[in-house]
Amino acid sequence: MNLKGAQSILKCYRPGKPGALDPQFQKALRIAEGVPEMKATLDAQVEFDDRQVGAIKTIAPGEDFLNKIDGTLEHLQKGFQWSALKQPPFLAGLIAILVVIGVLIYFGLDYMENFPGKDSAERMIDMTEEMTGIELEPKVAEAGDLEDWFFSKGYENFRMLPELAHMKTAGARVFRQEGCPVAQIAIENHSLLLYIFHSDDFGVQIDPPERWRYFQQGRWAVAIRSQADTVFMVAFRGKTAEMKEFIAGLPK
Amino acid sequence: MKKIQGLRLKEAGFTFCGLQSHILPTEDLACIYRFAVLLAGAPETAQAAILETFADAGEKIHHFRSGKSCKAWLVAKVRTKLMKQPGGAGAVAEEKKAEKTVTPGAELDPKAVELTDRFSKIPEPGRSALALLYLDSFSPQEIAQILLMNEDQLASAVDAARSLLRQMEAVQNTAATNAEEQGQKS
Repeated sequence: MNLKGAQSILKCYRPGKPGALDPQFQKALRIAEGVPEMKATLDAQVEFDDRQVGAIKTIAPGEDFLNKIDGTLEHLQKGFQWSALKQPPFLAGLIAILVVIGVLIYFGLDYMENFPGKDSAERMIDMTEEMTGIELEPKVAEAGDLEDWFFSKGYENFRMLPELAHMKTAGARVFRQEGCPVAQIAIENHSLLLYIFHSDDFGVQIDPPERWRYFQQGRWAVAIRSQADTVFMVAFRGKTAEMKEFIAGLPK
Repeated sequence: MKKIQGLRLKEAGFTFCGLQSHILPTEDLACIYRFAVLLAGAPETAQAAILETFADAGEKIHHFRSGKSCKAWLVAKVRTKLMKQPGGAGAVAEEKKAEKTVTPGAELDPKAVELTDRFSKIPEPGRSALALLYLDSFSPQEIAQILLMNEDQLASAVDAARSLLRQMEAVQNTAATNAEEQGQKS
């Protein structure tokens, strides 16, 4: 800092006031201390400024004006509560609440989609992806009338849900997964597959059993429920929403 | 008589969940008032400008969590309002003096009257720069920010305004001395 710079900076110097401890001021003051003329000018400036400030300090708002200001603030106070919510602490709180709600929704949905034995159900769907169609034996009948047929193929204690019993089948088979039998039926006209298996074989537990649970497995929309010891799983290529619509449309 | 010092306006602030929406102590209002009077040259104009500023500020005033930034913002708003007046703040002062309609409680100390009179003759932005410096509330950096100028420009503006003020004071003092001498002679 040169002499000219110090002179310029000290034009705004007010000892003991905001910014007075600024390093720039301190540096300029040290320069001024070494130049008597500059020091005298600064002292005169400070004395002059203090005199003006003394007069300024006598200016104070009157009582009537303060009352008017109070009135204005009270008026403002009535209408600003909502805007106060825009402040960072409120926004942070709001975001935190939304995050907590989001997490709860996530876990809620996760709970709705998950159930014990879901892995086995998913494997069945994955296997379906590899099917060509020739695995199924042609079988045209009502789904509810296949008890004897499945018994002859090695699946015992066949049960069928009443709402699915009248559906026309196009093909059926029994395959084994993890050594346990699974009855698979292709339903005519609907491009959907129906899986029937014993819940104990795969450790599948749907709670409550009568409630359909939905999940998406790749391109397949899946609905699953149980009755007694039998699990019923419906799958078709599509979205979960479409599956929900299909299940909702089943006869009661 | 209500106190001027203290936290009168803080009481009017909005508290929610223990958070103060804004803090504007009465001392800050006094500071804004002094600045407005120095700029306007007349208490009535200053008061009107402050009231209008508060009304216009509306909900925004509560967005400040720092009292200092709120004060700086209000000061800038008051200045803008006064600058927008026809002929600028100084011209308003002359009109108000001609009207001589003094609001109760708005009378100024004779020294303050002389000072505001001199201030009203200082051109902008020097008038605002020196007024803000004399409030002893803002650092030069903050003043420069309020006036949208850099610190070199602020130093020049303050220097020019101070020189003018000093000249006016000297002229006034000389006139007063001459008048006194003439009075003694007669």
